[in-house]
Amino acid sequence: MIKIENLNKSYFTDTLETQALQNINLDIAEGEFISIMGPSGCGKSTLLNMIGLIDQPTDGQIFINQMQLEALPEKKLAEFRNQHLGFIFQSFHLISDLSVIDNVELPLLYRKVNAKKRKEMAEAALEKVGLLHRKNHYPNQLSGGQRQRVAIARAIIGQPSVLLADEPTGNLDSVLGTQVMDLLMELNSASKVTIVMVTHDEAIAQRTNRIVRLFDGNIVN
Amino acid sequence: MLKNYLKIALNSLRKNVLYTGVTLFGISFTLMVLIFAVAVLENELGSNKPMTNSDKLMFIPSMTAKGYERQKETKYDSIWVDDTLKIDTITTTKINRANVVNESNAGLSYSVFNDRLKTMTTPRFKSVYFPKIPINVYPSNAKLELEANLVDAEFWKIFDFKFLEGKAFSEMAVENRVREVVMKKEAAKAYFGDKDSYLGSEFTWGSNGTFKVVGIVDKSVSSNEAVSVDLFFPVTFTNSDDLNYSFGHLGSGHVVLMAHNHNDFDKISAELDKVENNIQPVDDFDEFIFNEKTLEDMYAWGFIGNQTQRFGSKLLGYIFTGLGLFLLIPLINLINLNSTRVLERSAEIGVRKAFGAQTKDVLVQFLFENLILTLIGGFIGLILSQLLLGLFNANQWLGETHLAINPMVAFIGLVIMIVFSFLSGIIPAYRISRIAISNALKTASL
Repeated sequence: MIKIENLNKSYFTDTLETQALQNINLDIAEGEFISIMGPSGCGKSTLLNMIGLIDQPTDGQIFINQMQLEALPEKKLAEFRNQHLGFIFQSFHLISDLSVIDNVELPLLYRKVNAKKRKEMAEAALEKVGLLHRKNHYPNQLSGGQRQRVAIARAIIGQPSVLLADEPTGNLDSVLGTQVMDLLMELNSASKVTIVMVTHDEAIAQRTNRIVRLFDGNIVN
Repeated sequence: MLKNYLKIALNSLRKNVLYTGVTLFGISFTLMVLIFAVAVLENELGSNKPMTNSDKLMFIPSMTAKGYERQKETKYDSIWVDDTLKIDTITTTKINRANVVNESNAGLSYSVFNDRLKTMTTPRFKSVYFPKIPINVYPSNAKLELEANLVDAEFWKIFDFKFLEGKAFSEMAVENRVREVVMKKEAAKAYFGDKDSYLGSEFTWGSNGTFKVVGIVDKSVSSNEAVSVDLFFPVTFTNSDDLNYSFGHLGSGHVVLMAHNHNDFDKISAELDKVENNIQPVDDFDEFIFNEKTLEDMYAWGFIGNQTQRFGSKLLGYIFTGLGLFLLIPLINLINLNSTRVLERSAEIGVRKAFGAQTKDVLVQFLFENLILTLIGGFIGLILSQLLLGLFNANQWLGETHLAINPMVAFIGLVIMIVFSFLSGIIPAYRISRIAISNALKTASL
């Protein structure tokens, strides 16, 4: 499903090269739910950004669904992200000026889906996360857990084959975090969606199929 | 998608009251000034009644008469006639065109128009009018100052006045020296008082006698002297000698020629050159030159230039350069404001791009949002400019010009708004659309 070969990522300043990821090789099977763990600054989010095609590797290859992607032009990458990937962020990143349903519809705006169909699909996604009754609210009228569930609805509305979650429970207390994790587990088992999650929480990580541990830009397990 | 952008734009405007206020003030004030300038130009130079044919009009408000230095040359020759030596004297006079000794600029005489210009074949219509004759009348024992033009019948074919009552005097009426008058409605109201109809009323012009009102016309938006006066009398009511100066071919008449189309001006000029060449020297003047002017030149004459030169294009150049510079300052300010505003929304752009938005989608979004802002500002600017025009009209700060926002002004205003919106939005929109997603997502606020 996801294959990463010899992936390196360096950041450069005038005088300094910082290697964020070093020679990463990783295979993730279809329908697998993995978590990436490691101390702050070890390259977890950088790796997730590489898989999510929102950052370019310095070298190495990224394959998703057997397509080599890292060198595609910006337009093709945008299309691929739109069709195949869903994102969940630690700080939710909901657009505060848009209602819940408008936020959830967002990925479909770039797919030329008509307004009626968008609304139907957004309502179905909100139904899945149990927030249909909140569809006309605005993000600042929701609790943290509800916001993250809206973000999950936005991530799954386009029926992506891969969900990328960057510390989805990081801004939530343990009860809300567990609820969000339950929801991700349910999506993984019901829809067979592949999930790659970055987390600091060992207990949360233990619920996933596999834990990939990073240290100083290297996979250590 | 546009609905989504619209919601974001309106909510964003509501949220940032200070930014919105400052921006809207800048846009509306700028557009007010620009719309005002467009309104002045459009009303003066545009295709509006009674100058719907404004782009086909060639005016000859004056002619230049030139007298050149005469150089006399006497030659002596001696011949023998019947054994007597006779001296034969031959005197020749040469005209030295390099040295003008006598020059006069003035309007045209009625006879020059009738004898030389009326027979021209290239223009569609040819008319002579004697402009801005001051008339003081005393209705109800109060002094009323009016201005009149003496016009021929073809005048009404060139200038399509909106007749509120009656009609213009006919060619036959002009030929028969019928004592009729066409009045502007305001002048009729001022002279006769408020009446349902002014047709058939008699206007008394001092010792010139009385004239029957045969037509009432609406006011003209242009300040051009051909159409801005209060009354129009047939040119023939007075003795034609009064319309010719006693020297040269000069007088106080202005001629207006209407071309079949705008491209015919060169043909008309060429025919005028021929007419000039055929005018015989008279009263120490050797050459007569018709000073041709377009409507733009006539308008420019009030500010720059003189009778003989044409400054219409130059004046328009100055005006457009001035407006361009005026536009530049708020434009740069708005670009800076927009740059700050869009940077605050980096995270939103990051999310949109993560979910599949392409650079062009982000570009379109911000241009659209900026267009909404500009249209709101433009609408306020339109209201402000309407108030400004009303103020200018009420106080006659632009003299005879009656300013109005007609459909053409509104259309040009809309084009200015769109261009302004595009120019002020494109640089910030382009910058933000190129932002790296991973960097954009590091920004916490949305």
